Amino acid sequence: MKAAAALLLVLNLNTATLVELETLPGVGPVLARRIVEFREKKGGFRRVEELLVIPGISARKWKLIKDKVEVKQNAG
Amino acid sequence: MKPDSAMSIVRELRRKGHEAYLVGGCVRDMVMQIEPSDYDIATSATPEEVVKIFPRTESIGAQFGVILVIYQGHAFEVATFRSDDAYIDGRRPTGVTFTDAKQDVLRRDFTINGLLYDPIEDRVVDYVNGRADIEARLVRAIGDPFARFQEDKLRILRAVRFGARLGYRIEPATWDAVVQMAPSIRQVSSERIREELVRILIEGQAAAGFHMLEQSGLRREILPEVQWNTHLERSLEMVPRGAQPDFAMGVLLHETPTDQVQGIIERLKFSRAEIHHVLALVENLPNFRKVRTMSLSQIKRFFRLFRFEDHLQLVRIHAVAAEEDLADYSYASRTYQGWTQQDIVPKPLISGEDLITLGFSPGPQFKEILTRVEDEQLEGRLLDHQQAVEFVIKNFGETKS
Repeated sequence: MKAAAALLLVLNLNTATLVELETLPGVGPVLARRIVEFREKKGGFRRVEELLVIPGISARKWKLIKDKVEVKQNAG
Repeated sequence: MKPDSAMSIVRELRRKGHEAYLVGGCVRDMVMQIEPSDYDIATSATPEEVVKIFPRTESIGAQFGVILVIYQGHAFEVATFRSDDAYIDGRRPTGVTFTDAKQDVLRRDFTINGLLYDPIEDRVVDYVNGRADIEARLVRAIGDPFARFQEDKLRILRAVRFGARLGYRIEPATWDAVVQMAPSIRQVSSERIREELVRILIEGQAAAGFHMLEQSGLRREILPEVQWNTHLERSLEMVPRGAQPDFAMGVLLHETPTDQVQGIIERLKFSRAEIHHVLALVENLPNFRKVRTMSLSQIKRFFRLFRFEDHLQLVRIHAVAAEEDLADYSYASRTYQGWTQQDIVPKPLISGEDLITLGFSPGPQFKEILTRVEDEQLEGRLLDHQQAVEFVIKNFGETKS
């Protein structure tokens, strides 16, 4: 049920929980934590491409992730 | 964020022979002595040139020539100076022409967002008289406000958002255009309206923002179901900066009839989870009146509502705004704080498997038995597995097959 939902849903980077972030391809607990820390430090994502700033998100990993995330109620 | 990395990008572009400035909201913030959260850069370099200069880039909005530069652990939007061709559908230009810095700022929305900053010379370049408007605390469209709003109707709503967030007045000619063009906000997509609306709600000045939405006639266009009154104004004053969007919507809609609330949040295309939370907030508000007469099991189940803290905040906001006493809130809050998650959702004393061991056959009765046991556990009348087993045998034993 949870896995099926994860396949269909596009995650809002500004509200996704650690557990939800871990459903992204190539994202485990460490990267999920970094994404949340980045979000908190910055006061939110302005656009999904900012994920590329996070150490560990390579261009290759980015391609796998980018269609599965979005940014709503963005900062700025 | 400190401007150092953004300055390095400007310096790098200049070194390669291009013009480059910081532009937009970050310059406004710097002039206002607020630390910007992001820096945008405008340059004479074409997107292709920008991509060549910086090792890590990502193309965003390619048709507008915007490149995201990943640099020293931050992301920067680097956009080529452009002027927009005619707009289609009140939102997107049919094309763009690369041009110079002056033309680039003249296409932007408000004077306060139209400043350029040269970080090398530490000099603000102001083609739109934006500094004077920051000084006078005014939101003023660049050029003809009607033309600006015609290009992108969302700007009508954005004028209000900037006014509220910064505590600025909207300059009279711009305000006239907001009022006269308010009905055309309906041509903007629900998603874009939602984004602006949410930002008005969570940027710390929700009451001021909604006051302007009301005065301008925008509220009637986007939220005709919502009754604007003192109670709502006071309630919105208590929505903190940085509030969760669904919580803020709960505050906004807590006096609106529930059947209409659903229509509003669906129309604005909130996510399923957000819709669920907003409805839960509005629907459960009256239950706080019963909280002091609830049994332990009832109140513990009540506390299981998702993000119960939001429910507590809403009942407090509602009571303060209505100048009602805070007894229900205080009781609920104190009780909630006094319990751990373990108290509210304890580990079950007995499972379905235990019932099978006791000789019950799986069926609808299972749920009834387990709920009764949980009730007794929440009431504090059953403390361990042994007691639960005895309770089941005593109360349900005769139905044993």
